[in-house]
Amino acid sequence: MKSLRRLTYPYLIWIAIFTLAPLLLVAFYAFTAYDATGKLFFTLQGFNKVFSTADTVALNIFALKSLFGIDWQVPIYVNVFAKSLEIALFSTIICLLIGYPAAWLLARGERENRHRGNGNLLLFLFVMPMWMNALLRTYAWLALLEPRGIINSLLGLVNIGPVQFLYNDFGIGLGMVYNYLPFMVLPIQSVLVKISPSVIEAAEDLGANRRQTFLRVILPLSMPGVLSGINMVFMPAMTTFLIPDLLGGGRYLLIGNAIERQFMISRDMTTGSALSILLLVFVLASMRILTRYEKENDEGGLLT
Amino acid sequence: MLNWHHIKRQQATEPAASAAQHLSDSTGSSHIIEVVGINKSFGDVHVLKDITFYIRNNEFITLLGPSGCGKSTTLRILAGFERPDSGDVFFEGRSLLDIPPYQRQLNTVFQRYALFPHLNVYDNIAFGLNIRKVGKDEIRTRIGQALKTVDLEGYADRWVEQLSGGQMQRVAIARAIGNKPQVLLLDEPLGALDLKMRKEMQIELKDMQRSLGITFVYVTHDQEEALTMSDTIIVMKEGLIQQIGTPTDIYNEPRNAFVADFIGESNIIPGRMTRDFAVSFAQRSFACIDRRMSEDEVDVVIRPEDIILAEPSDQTISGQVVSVVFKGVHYEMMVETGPFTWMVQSTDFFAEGASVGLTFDPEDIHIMAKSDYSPDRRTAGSDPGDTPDDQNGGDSW
Repeated sequence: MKSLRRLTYPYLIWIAIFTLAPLLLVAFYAFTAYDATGKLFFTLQGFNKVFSTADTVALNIFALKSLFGIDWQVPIYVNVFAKSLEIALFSTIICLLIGYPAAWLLARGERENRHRGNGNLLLFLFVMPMWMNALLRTYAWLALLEPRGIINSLLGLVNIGPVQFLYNDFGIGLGMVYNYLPFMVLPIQSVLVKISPSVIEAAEDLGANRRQTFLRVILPLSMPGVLSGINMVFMPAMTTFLIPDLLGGGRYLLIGNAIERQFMISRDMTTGSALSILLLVFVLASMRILTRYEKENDEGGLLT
Repeated sequence: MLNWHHIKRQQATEPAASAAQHLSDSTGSSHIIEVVGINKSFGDVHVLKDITFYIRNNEFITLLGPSGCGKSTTLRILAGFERPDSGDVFFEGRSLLDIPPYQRQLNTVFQRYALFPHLNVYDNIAFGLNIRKVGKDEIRTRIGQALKTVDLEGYADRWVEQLSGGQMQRVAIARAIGNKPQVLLLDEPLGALDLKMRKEMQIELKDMQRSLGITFVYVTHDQEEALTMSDTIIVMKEGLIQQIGTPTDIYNEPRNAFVADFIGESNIIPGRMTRDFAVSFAQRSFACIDRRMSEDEVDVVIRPEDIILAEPSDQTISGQVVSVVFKGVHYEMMVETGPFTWMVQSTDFFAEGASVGLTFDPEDIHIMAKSDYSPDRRTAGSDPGDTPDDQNGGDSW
C-alpha cells in the first residue's frame, strides 16, 4: 500500500504548484499594493474599491425590478456580482429543466442498449460537441445569431426581425445553457441509470401513478445527480468570462470579465485579486449550501 | 435433489382430472383470478403459449418451472407490468388488461426486494398507504401489524441498507401486505436467501398466507419449495402449462416425463401397454393400477424410493450396483440392468458390484402418455433437466 501511495505524489506536486501556489498568490495580491517608490505594502484598497459607494449604478436585476419594484443604487461591482448571479442562476435553472428530461431519455436508452449489448448512440451524439473547443462552439453561435446571421435570415423570409439575439441577457444565457448543459445531464443520467427498474415497478405496484412515482421515488433517488449537476453548471456559469466576452460583444460586464479587465486592461492586480477572492468565497459558500442538502449520499454523480 | 418420502401415495386419480378442474371455464365466484388463453412474445421468442388457468380465492398457488419457462412473465402480466399479446385476465370477473398496475388490488413481493433505498423501513411500508391517503393513525396501526406479521418489530427506524437479506425480504413482504391486497404475488422471493433462511421463510410464508386469509401466487424454480407450501402447483415449461394439480398429484401422478423428472428424482422407462392394469417394460410384464391409454407406447415412472431391492430371482429385474452414495437417511444406489440404469433409494445397503433384484408394487408404477419430453424422444434442444440457477433467467424481465 505504501508504494501505491507514492503514485499520488505527482498529483500532489501538481496541486501544490498549480492550485495552491496561485491561490496563495492571489490572496497575497489582494491584500497588497505597490507604493510610488515600488515598495509593497499591506492594504484593503482592493476590497474598498469593490464596495466603494463613490460610483453607484441602479441595480440591474430584471426579476427584482419588475416583480418587486426594487430600485437600489449599488456599487458598480455589486451590480456586476448580482448580474452574474442572476444569469448563472437562470442558466442553471434552464439547464435543469432541459437537462433532467434529456438525462431521463439518455438513461432509458442506456438501459435498453445495455440489454442489447450495443453502445448508446444518443449519448454519443450528446457528448460529441464536448470534444470541440468551447471557443469554437461559442463562435459558431455568433454566426447563427448575428443580425445578419443564419437564424435572422431565416426569420427574414417570414418577415420577422431582425431580432437582437446577441449582446444581451438572452445571448449570454443561451451560450451558457449550450455550453454547460452536458454538465447537468451527465451526472443526472448516471444516477438515473442506477435506479433499479424494479423499484419503479414497486412504486406502481403500491398504487403510485406516474406522477407520484416520479415525485416520491425517482426524483428523490436522483437528487444527488441533480445537486452535482447544479454545482457543475452554476460554478462555471458564475465565473466564465469567455461567453459574455464573445456573446456579450465585449461591453457586457459579468464578474469574470470584470476580473479579466482588472488584470489585463487596468493592470490593477489588487482589485482583480480582491474580486477573485470574493468570487471564490461566494462560490464555495453556495457549494456548501448545496452539499448540505445532499446529506451523506454516496450514490452521487460526478461531483459531490 | 428431493426425496419426498412423506408424501403418501394416494389412490390414483386420473391425472388429467385435477388439471381439468383448474382449466375449466366455470365462473364460480370462488375463482378470484382467471387467466384465459394468454400469449406473449418478446421479439421472436414466444414465451407464453395459450396459458389458461384459474386461481381460487385464498389458495396458495405456485407457478413452477425451470428458467425461461414463462412463470415470471405470467406473474408480471397479473401484476400489470406486461401486457399479453392475446388472451385475457379476469379479476373477480372483470378484465384486468386495461387497468394499470397502480389500480390493481394485487401487490407484488419482488425477486430482489425492490425496497426504496431513500426511505427507512417505516416509510417503505407506509409508501402505499400514504398514496392511498390512509389516515396517520391507521397507517401506524397497520405498519405495526405488518411488522409483527413478518417478525420485525422494532425495525421501523432502520434504513434499508442496514438490513440483512432476510430482513429486507421481510420488509418487502410487510410492505406488500400492509396494503391489504386480496392477492399477493411473490416472484421468487426467497431466491437470494441462504438455504436455512429459505426453509424458515417457507414455513412462515405458508403460515402467513393462512392467517392473513389472502391468495398467494408464488413463482419459483425450486420444486421442493413448491411442494412444501402450495395448495396448487402449475408446472410450466417452454411457455406451456405441463400440469396443474395439488403437490401430491404432481408428485405421484406426473402427466409427462418432464414433470416426473422436474419434480423429484425419477426413473423414466419406455414401456408398452396393450391392456388395462398391465404394462411391460424391461422385457417383463408388470401389474399396475392404470388403464390403457390411447397409444400402446407409454412412459413408465418409478420413484427411486419405491423400488424394492431383493436378492435376484425370477420375480425381479436383476442388475448390478454400480455406485453407492450415503445420503444420511438412505443410500442412493445406481443399479445397471442392461440398457437402463436405475436410481434406487433404500435404507438397505448393497455394496458396489453386488448383484441385486428390483421389484415394484403395482401402485408404485405410474404410467404416462408419451410426450416431447420422453427420454427416447428427447432432442438436444429440449432438455427437461431442472436448472437451479434461475436468478437471471430470461423470463425475469
